[in-house]
Amino acid sequence: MTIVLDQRSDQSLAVYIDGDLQFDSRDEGVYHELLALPALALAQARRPKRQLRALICGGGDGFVARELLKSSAIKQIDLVDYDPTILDLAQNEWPELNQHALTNPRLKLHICDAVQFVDLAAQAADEYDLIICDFTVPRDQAGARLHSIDWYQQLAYILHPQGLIAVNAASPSQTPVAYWMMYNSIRTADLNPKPYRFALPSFTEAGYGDDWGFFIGSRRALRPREFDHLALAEPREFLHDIEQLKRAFAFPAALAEKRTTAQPTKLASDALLHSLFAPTWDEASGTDWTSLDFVHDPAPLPKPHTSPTLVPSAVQQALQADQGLDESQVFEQVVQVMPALRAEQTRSMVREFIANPLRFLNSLDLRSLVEALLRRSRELPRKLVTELRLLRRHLQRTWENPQLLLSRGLRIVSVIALVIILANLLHPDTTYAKGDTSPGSGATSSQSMVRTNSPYDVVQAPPSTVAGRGFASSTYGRGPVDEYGTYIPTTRRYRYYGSYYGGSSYRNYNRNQRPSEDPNEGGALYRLTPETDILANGEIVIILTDQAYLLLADQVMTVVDAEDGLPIVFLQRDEALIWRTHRELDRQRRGLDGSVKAKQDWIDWVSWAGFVPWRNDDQAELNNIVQTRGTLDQAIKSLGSIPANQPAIRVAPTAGGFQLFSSVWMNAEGSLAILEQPDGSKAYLNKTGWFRDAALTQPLSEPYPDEFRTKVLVPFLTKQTTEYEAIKKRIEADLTSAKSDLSLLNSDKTEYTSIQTSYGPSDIVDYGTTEIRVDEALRRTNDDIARTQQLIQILNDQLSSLPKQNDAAKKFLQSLK
Amino acid sequence: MYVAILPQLSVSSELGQKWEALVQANPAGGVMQSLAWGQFKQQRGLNVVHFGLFAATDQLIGGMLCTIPAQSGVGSNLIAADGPILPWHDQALARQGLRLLREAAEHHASAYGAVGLRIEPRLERPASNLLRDWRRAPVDMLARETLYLDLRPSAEQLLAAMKPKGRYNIRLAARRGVTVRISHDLADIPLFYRLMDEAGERDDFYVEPIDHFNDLLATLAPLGYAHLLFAEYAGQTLGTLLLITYGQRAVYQYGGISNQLREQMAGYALQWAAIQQAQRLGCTSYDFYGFEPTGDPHHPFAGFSRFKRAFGGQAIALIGAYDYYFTEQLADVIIRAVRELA
Repeated sequence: MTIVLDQRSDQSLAVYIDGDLQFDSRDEGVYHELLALPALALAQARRPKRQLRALICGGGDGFVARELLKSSAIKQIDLVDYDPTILDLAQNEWPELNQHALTNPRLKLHICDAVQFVDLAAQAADEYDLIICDFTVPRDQAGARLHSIDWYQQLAYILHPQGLIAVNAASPSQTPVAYWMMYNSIRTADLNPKPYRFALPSFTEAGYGDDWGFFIGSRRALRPREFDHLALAEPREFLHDIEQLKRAFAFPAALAEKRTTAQPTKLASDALLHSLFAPTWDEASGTDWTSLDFVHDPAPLPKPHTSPTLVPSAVQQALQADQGLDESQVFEQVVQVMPALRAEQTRSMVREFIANPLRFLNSLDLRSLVEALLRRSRELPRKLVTELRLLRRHLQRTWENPQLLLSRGLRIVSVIALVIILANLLHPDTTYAKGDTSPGSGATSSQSMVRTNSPYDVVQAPPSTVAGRGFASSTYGRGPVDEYGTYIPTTRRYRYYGSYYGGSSYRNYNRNQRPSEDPNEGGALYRLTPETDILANGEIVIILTDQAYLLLADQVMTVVDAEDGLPIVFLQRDEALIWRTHRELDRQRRGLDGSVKAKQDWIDWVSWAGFVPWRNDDQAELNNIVQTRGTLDQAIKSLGSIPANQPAIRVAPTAGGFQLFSSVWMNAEGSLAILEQPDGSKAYLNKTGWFRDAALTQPLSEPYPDEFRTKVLVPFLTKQTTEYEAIKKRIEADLTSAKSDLSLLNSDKTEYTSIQTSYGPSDIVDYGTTEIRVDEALRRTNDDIARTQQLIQILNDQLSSLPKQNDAAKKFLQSLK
Repeated sequence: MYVAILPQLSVSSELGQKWEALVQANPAGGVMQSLAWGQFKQQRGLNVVHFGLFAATDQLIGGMLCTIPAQSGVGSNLIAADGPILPWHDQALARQGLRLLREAAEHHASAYGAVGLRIEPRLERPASNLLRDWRRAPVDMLARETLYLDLRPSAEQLLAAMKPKGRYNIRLAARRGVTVRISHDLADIPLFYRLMDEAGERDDFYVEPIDHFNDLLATLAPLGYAHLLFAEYAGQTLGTLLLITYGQRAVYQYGGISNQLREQMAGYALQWAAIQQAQRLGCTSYDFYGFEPTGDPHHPFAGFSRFKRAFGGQAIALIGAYDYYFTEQLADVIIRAVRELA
């Protein structure tokens, strides 16, 4: 266990155990007052004259003890924590914060495992009036047992029938299933829990969710009216009054509904861990459900989850509910629902990790595995045995591409891939691994907005809420922010003339009416795609080169000189580009809408419940998101009319020509650029002039835009040819590597063949680190050769499909310089 | 030759020293085979299984230090990153050694809940045919394509061999007053982590949890293997770098530059300080840990490779990780899975 103390410049202290924030001195009072004082007050109210005995499980930081010691009714506290380090720190590093609670004569420290302590107390028939569980959120099985039915049953045994229990749980909004699982475990143990929650800025900042949840319970169920006249111990810093406390018991009904299906867990179950590792960001909002409306929860209590499972239950469900789907679609669903198997994994990390299941199937010798499984066919259902036989037949013929295997609709292939994936996900190092093994990485295509032949096709759902801090007041406005709220530091600056570039300006410009004022200057406000920025006034700009950008507008597109903000040339609107840009803007705008709603709901709830620290920051962040969303509206408006359907892919205006970017082409010979002008006519441009016709016989009357040559074409083509060279080199390097593998395989083959010829097929040879019959070694080597040849084929195809454009571009570049 | 599972060795024991010497002398080995790394991984909740390869004379000649999740109910892989330690130059000996190690791992697999073994020696491509019955793993634990800088030349010679831009920016950072502080203090971890987190969010990569770094530094720093570097300027910390030095090799394992004052070239200052620190500690090779050699602009390493290229060095293509699944153990797990789904 590692403990880190972060002493900040404002003298506040944050403490981390194993990387998890334990407390932040700025707001730990909210947490500890809420956890300890209501239970204390209820226990006192139920047995007013009694001197109370309390048990604190965990809580070695001394803060819960500090709260309980505020009451003179507390006669004795047993505090059980297994970790001497935290107890030592609590007494020596922050005794002022816990007001020396751990050395108070009414408190007795027990350095031992809480489960053992409670077992012994149960054997000794000990009884407590108040039990507070203040454990960190479980990260492993040992931690999860402290939320099991078995544990709560033990606590119920040592709790006086009128006694109170309070439990630190999890975030109801971020991990709703886990929260309600804990709730149902406490219910199953007959401790009649009531859920409540509050806002803790430091936890939110640490990514633990927008709210944090506790439970309070008792063997004799709490009656709502018991809360009416509670006397909460004093002094208090954050918990103002009973009304505020009651509000903490309110939840969105949709969120509370989840308790009807969340399974309580037994000691050996791992289901709670899976739920904790898989945040789901519940977006339900409102306060229309409260547990103070009833004595006993009328909701059905699901059956307990009892033992660890190999296949996580979400995946089991996905594999069982496959009506009407083919196997590859079923597998896609598995990928979507696969939970994290370890505390440090996030759902997106897991999804990314298993997005390509082929690489897992490639890592094992499927043929021997199938033989091994068939040897044990009596242990398998008949349908799978039939599948295995079919699979064996496929595999016997020759080496088969796993891609095909997955698409053959065999459930057994999915199960095998799944087991290999689980084995990989379980090891904590693999998801952070530094490389992946996809071959031929040179074939990746650039997702360019300005090329019609590579449309921006990957359409993802927008993020449900902004996770980055880019909209926070400390960063907003300093540079562009993307849809995830990530602030992107950049040196990109723009000079521009605002409304100057519309259709009428184009006509004025051509009549030589130039702006007399200075251009606007500034960075972008929002990054739509890596190359597309939205400026503060809602203009949409796409980077073409370091010296020029493309500005989109309602009637024309303008290539703008980045230095002086003046137009270089005007181009015809590329309707396909407009359509793609609008689709992207609209998608991201919907994402921001979601974020605005989530943030507003949270602020509403926090202020309604009376937890208001740091709210101004949230309000500022919300304002910034709203402002950005407004800018996206402006951007959409600036596009003018949007085609109703996706426009068809454009064809080159000359045979064999190549598109350089929207509305600009290069002819097949690499001697001319062809510009589509706003009026639909073409301009043919070379180093010295521009013309109405490809034969270069009719010069255009407007002055030759030399800056288009120097600031757009030359740098654009230079970058493009350099990139092509690099991609080519990359594929060639992969090809060389594959060819040297092939040559090694071929020399193995020659050797095995000669052994087989001389000594017969049953002779035993080395095959890697195994000794096998030479005919089998030969067969496997042939498989490897087939696999390598296929890779070489793919690389060769990639190489030959590298467009001839490169040659033309090089030639054109040469002629332009 | 035979294989035995070694007890947890201390660095001061005779066998422990022998192991460390073998790892450090083996060009295909690295820090992830060191005893300290094993200790670090144990603290992270992993089981560590150390297989020793002995000559018939009972002399330790190689082996592998493997990690596997402690609670592997499902079955996971034993992983020997930077290993195994074998006389790779002697094909026959290496084949025999690897076979014995694999067989021993398979023999003990059930005890550790293992269904397979993953190895990743730092051998250059192409992979030798002694790995013929192994398969390329779905992920590599190390950066398979990387850049090694030979640290034997003097600092001046290294500077002279750099790309002009690298040399210029190193000097620019110094001229502008960027200084680099080297720390071995756990109290610096939150600062290190804040910068890494910022970089991870910006550049879209996953950063291990903070306790990973706490445990790593707590275990490796006292032995002089782990160093935190911070680039500082006018009272601000602009960037950080985690350097691992072990045996002949230094590895730039993590680094992150703040979003603030990027024009101060803190990244260059950090790398140069790390290179010099590695030289002072007697390392002869500096691994930039991840590099795309051809300049492919769409490769995931493209961005930082442009930066690393400025320091010179030689592009290295390693064979990557290789898997060997234990068929019977794997079949067991698959049958269990099928039953759960029934």
